[in-house]
Amino acid sequence: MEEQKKYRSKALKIVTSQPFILFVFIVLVAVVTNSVNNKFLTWSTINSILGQAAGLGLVSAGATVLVVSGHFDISTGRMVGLAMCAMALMLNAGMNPVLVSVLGILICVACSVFNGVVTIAFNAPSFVVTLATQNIYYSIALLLTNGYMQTLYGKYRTLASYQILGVFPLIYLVLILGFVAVYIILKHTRTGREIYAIGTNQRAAYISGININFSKVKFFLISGILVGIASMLMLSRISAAQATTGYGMETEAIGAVVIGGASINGGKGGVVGTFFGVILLSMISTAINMLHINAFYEYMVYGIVILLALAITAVRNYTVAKKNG
Amino acid sequence: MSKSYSGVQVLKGVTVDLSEGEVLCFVGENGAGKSTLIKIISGAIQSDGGTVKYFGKEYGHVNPRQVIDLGVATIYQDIDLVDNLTVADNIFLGRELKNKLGFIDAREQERQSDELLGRLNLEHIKGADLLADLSTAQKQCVQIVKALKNEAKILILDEPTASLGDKETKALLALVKNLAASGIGIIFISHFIDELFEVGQKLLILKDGVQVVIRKTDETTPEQVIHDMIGRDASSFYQREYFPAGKRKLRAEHYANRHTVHDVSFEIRSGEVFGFGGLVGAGRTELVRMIYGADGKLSGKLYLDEKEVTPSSPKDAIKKGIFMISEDRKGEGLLNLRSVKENIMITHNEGREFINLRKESEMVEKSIQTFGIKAPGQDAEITSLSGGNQQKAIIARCVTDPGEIYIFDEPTKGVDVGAKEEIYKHILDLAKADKFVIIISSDMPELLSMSDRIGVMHEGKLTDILDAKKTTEDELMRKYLGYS
Repeated sequence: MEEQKKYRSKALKIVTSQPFILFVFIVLVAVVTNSVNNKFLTWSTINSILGQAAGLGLVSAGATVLVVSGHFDISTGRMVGLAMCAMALMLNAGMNPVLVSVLGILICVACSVFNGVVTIAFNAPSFVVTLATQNIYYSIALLLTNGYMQTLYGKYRTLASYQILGVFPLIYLVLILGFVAVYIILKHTRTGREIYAIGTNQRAAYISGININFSKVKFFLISGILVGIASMLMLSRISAAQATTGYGMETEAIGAVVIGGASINGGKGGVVGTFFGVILLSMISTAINMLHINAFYEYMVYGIVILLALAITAVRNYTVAKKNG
Repeated sequence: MSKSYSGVQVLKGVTVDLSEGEVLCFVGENGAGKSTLIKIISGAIQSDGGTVKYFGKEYGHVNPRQVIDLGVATIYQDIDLVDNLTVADNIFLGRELKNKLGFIDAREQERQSDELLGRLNLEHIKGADLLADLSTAQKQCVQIVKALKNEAKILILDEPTASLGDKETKALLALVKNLAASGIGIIFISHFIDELFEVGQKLLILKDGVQVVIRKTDETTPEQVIHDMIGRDASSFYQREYFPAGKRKLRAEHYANRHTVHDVSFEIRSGEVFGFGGLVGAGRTELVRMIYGADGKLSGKLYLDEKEVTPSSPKDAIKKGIFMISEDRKGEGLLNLRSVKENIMITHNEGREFINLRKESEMVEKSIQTFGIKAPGQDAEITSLSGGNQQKAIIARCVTDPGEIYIFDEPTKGVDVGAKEEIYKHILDLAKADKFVIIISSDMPELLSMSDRIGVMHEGKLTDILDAKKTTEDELMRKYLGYS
């Protein structure tokens, strides 16, 4: 009896969790779209959706770490642009692709850590700090490229085109590994506990013996690495870069994190929710296209989905508050 | 004018009245119910029973706005004025004077402000001055002027002198007397007995929310008042177990910060519970926070058996075996949205990068057992627990790892009676295990019954070290007040 009750409450917890609700929603959208246009649930469509999702996914995984710890980085889109431009220039100059990849990641890490250090040094909201730094990163990208698009002419394709054992795209493996890494960090490491602790109550975290500043730099570092890898994937997929590339990803990423159920005030959230949030956002445009809906509705749907996610969170908070009296 | 109340949870059967031109003082130790009483009078909270009559009329449920409109102004300790506006702008805030064009008539506001300030012998403050340029005392005065401008007939002052120097206090007390002489009724709260005798005519003495007595200042003595403030039955004392102190020594030397703590040194033996007593604002919390490394300091070193262990940060403190439980459980203790498990293990987990979830779960289970934490489960949100159980979880957080020095700042604040005794037991267990225990408490019976010795702090200085067993509440309160 007791055992049964325990399982039931556990099952109930999973069913009412944000990732599960999102999963159901995604399946629903897929099935409905497919019933109208049976090309939706085909390998090539799914491939194209997931391919697009890869870059956004990794940036969102990093954004999850920051949002849960109570921070925002709205310069990640510009970081992607800068890193892609710099990498394209280096590749066209004939540099070794592996070295270029490492340097690309380092650029993003440097930008992200700079955001973190300034946030700490000025004791300013990271939102405002990154609002400022994104302009700097954009400007650097413009200066590097002189404003011209950099085309790779078929170089650096391996990452996007390689298929493991000839069937499974390497790009998915990278995406999955990124999410698994963040999942492990959040669940199984002290860094994860620090992310939640600092996100929910920074002063309590400090008194409990956490070096707040060092931890925050770590969070920005993690995000930077993921943004760097995202830049690699995107460059390989698109085969070209310009300064404006990536712009808008930062808000999409934060949107995906919020859709995934993370608290915008920090302290709550997980990477599984973010994953489904990314998938949902990525499939919307394709679905709209296939349903022959006017494409101008796309952004309205984005907005509504985020509002819906907030509504679900609000309802859940309300019922929890009611239960706790 | 008359007011009467009765039957509020933290306040029972208090009846008092205030006449025109009278200064009525509320006296009592921390938590005696003074603040509750003024909150009821000012309409900030409602009493559960009893009535408040303003100017002979009963109003039933009132909100703060109505009370202000009736002419009752409350001035709280923290100043609620706008720093970036002038004195005149502040005085007229919300009721600005307008000229014919509908713009604010700054000149007229300043003229009227100067006139008001002049009437109260406050000519040194000008209406055109920027508020940010004034001292704390002058700001207090501006608050009073603002209240009077709104035609207040009753003025409630909650510890107006708490953050003032000698000279400033004198000026403020003179202003209060001046106002009373002009027919305004004043309710005055202060921890300084001398001030009460200087300005007050009537003293309402409160203890544990109950009205002890009302005394007239010209018919009583400070000794009598102090005695009235304390003295309670033995049941509020905890019977602790005593054991001999150990051999090791902890020495704190010359701890000081800029404002609130001045050159504090003391020595503790292992196995001893060393209490810190004093009024709110005496510098106790600031002192232990410096010892723990949580706040910056001007000077101060900590020696354990002659070896220096001064922590540079809480992280460093914990590495050296020093743990502190903050008085502010919500603000500095709880990780609100997180589970009981994460709350207990946060400090322990700092020791390793990867967490063994199964082992962690076992450790949490053990803590829950040892401390008798009542929780629906390890993964339940910490805020779903009662205050006492939350506190037990935070204490568990500090004793998961080996340590030497334990600092408890108000360990039983907001904790129910049952949990209190359990917390006492755990604190004493640490002492029994030959650790160093420092405890701060504003609850005098708790401090007297838990401590071996009590260090009394008064205005940032460690003024006395008393043997707890030989000290009475009377004596302790006298030391708190710096009245010997």
